[in-house]
Amino acid sequence: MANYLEIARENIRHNLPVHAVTAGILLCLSPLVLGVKNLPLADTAKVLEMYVALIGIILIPPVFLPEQNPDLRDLIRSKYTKISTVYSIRAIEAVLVLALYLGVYILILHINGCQMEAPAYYAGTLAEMIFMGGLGLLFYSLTDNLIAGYMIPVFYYITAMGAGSKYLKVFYPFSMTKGSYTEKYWLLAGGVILMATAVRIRSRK
Amino acid sequence: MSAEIKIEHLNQYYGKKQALKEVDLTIQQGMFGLLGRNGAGKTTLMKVLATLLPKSDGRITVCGIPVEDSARIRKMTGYLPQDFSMYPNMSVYEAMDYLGVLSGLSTAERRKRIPYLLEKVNLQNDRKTKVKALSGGMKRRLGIAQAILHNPRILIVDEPTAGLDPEERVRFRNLLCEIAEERIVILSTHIVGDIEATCEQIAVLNNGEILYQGTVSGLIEMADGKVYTAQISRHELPQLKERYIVTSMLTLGNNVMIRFIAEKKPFASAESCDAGVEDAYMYLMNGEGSEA
Amino acid sequence: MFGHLFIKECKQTAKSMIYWLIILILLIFFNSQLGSMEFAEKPEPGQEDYGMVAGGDEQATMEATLGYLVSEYRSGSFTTYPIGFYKTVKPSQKELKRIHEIVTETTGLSTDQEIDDAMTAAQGDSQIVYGSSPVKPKDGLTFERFCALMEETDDMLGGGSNYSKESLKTNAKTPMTYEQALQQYNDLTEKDHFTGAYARLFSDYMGIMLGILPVFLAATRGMRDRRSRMQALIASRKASSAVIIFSRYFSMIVMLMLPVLLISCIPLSECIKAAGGGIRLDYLAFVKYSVGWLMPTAMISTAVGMVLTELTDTALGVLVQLIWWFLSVFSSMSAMHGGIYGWDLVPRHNTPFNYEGFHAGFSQLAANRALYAGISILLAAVTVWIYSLKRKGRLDIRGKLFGNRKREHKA
Repeated sequence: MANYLEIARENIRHNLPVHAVTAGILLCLSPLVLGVKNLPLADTAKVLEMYVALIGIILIPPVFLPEQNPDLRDLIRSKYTKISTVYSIRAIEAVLVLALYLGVYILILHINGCQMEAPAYYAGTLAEMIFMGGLGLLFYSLTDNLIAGYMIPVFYYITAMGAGSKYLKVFYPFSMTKGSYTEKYWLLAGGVILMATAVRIRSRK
Repeated sequence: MSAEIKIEHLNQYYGKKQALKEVDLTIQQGMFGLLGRNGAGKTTLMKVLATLLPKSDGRITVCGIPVEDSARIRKMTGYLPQDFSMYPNMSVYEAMDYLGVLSGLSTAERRKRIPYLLEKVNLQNDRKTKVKALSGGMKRRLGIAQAILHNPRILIVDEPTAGLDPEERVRFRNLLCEIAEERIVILSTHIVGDIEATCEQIAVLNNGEILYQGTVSGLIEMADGKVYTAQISRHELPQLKERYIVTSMLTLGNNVMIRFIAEKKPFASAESCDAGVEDAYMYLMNGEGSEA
Repeated sequence: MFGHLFIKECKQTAKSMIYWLIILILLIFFNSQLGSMEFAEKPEPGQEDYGMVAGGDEQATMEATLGYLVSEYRSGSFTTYPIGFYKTVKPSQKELKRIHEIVTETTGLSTDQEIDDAMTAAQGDSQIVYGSSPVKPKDGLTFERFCALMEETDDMLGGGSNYSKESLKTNAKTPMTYEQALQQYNDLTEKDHFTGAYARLFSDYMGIMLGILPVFLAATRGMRDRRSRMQALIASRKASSAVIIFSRYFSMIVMLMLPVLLISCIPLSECIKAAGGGIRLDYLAFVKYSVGWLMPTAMISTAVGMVLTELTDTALGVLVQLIWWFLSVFSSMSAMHGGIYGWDLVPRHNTPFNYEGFHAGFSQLAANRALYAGISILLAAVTVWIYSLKRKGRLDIRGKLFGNRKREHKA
């Protein structure tokens, strides 16, 4: 257990801050470009689904980044702790940061008088973040290229914007804006599977 | 144009840390060995010569050209860094071809020169092997081939034998000697054996300062008459190690055969013997007979 | 040297995974948006409906806009879409007072009662103007004065309101007549030579992708030297920084435009099939639009990726381009119909029609495209400068950001 905490701390010290700060800045900038006051139900959902959820792409894919160098990867692998454990702990930390940011953001929206179904919006947005992040993580593991890990979820996002639910069906990310929540269960399940698969693939490389 | 590198009063800083202090060196045609511990400043010096680092202070000319004129220096310099690789998905030939273009070689020159060099470094059968599939030794050999691709007058190689097996190391040294026949080759290493086998002229760097510059035999002379061998019992060893610089030892049952440095004959059973480069280097690095 | 290097860079791009992912994405995106193209047909007289047309004469524009103004003034809250996201703006007392003055000056209505009466009257009117209930302007109000006041209101609200310049053009909507529909169709076939209109639609969609995808290619290329520890080998060679960087830059542009041009053959062939005989087609329209409209977008997003990757050795370029793209795409949504190109990174023209708007906005579009092409070359030149500094060891931002130390992993 102490060992796990050490891994978590190492990540908080060296890897996480750059990405967490970037995501934080992105959220802080949001009032400049979009309304965060007195929003009706659908528009609150839009801000969460189409803007806030994007930080999932920033925080989750870099989970594999510290061991980008193959020699270093072998070194870590030679240690007692399994590399998949290291990755999993980092992934969980990334999700925790997302959960924290999202919580604070929704609280601010609430204080600002936006209408919302808070618990559903919170869980739904988090599910979308995990799905987009997991998608990126999977492609990072497949291509050994972080940039691809950013590109694929961005493409997914654009597709969702352009073609909408017609193509993505249950994996349509902006469903809350239309008042539907079933898609979010699929996104959460899909996201978790994507992340687990990515960690598995990466641990073997 | 004189075929020599002149370094005068070179000082190099990384922030507050001084990596090179008042370095004065003249390097002539042939193999030149740069010896020193890890972190002594060898890589810094070589990077400055290869125009990859700006010098903080001092004067350097390479064959009469000031080192600031990076375009002309790069044209006549080949460089092999300590830690390098190439695009992993390229084949050996493709990688050479790519670097050849960057060196401004024409298609005809590349077609002639690349197979010739690959043969010289014994990679002629690996032309189509991907860089990512090369072993450490093969990669080093490819490294040396790319460094002399454009037939440079000066070749700078940083720790080229690190990570090579003994057989490969010998072959590599011979290759460098062959190359050095018509140019300046600067070789850095912390392995004394490399220098002993190949270089006539050497310099020893320590903490950014030149401790010694001259011939290999000159270095050996410094330790002449100060190297002894003795057979002692095992329990005497720690005590002896404290007082003298022990350069090698061989365990013989309960006894140990040691080789060490002392200013004068330390005890009756010690026998004087001829100094080697390693002895002289150890002598130098430990502050010329700083025995307890 | 440049030519050889250029070809080698193209080959390298062709072998990179990210490049093929980009092509795959372009294909999927094309297929999802333009996979089954519907072509305009010649309108027949006597049809029930020819669709709506945005805009109208000055009178209709003023009535529709003032309809929005009085109702929003009464509710005290104004709806704006500064970048396509809904934003409610509640003006301060001082601003509300000024808006009240504007309401009075434009409509002659002063008290709340008068305004409410006017709104009720408007809603009771049988003539429905889409979007708002029209309120009549005060007699003697000139259109110029009206526009100036609306601009002032829009500024007070922070832009993107119903009173912005763009909105004024679309606030009034009227049903299209047969003559208008026919005119529109004739523009399509005669002035646009059919293919021109669809090449524009193609550019509209593909521009969205080319505003973002190239940055991934550029960032990957920029990081490849470091990742494969080849920096020093390249840096110590004779080739000038300009040759190295520009050969990379142009090869990326060419390799990015290649699939775009190839994909454009699909709508071209469909256009040829749909047009049959009769219409004189411009067979080069897709090439012209790809180069003139799309290439500057690809150039600038490549350049942003290149310069920031070279500067920081991180994926910062991706983030910056993503933000720019996001703002641009959302803010230009109100201008989807075309004709209003402004300085958008991704100019929109999401219809085969509106040749008129295209024609009117052409010089703006040309200036827009030239500006981005120019800036991208400038950014490439800055990249050369950064690269030459790094090559000589005079710049190391990444080292400063992350420290040069090789840290120990305790895991």
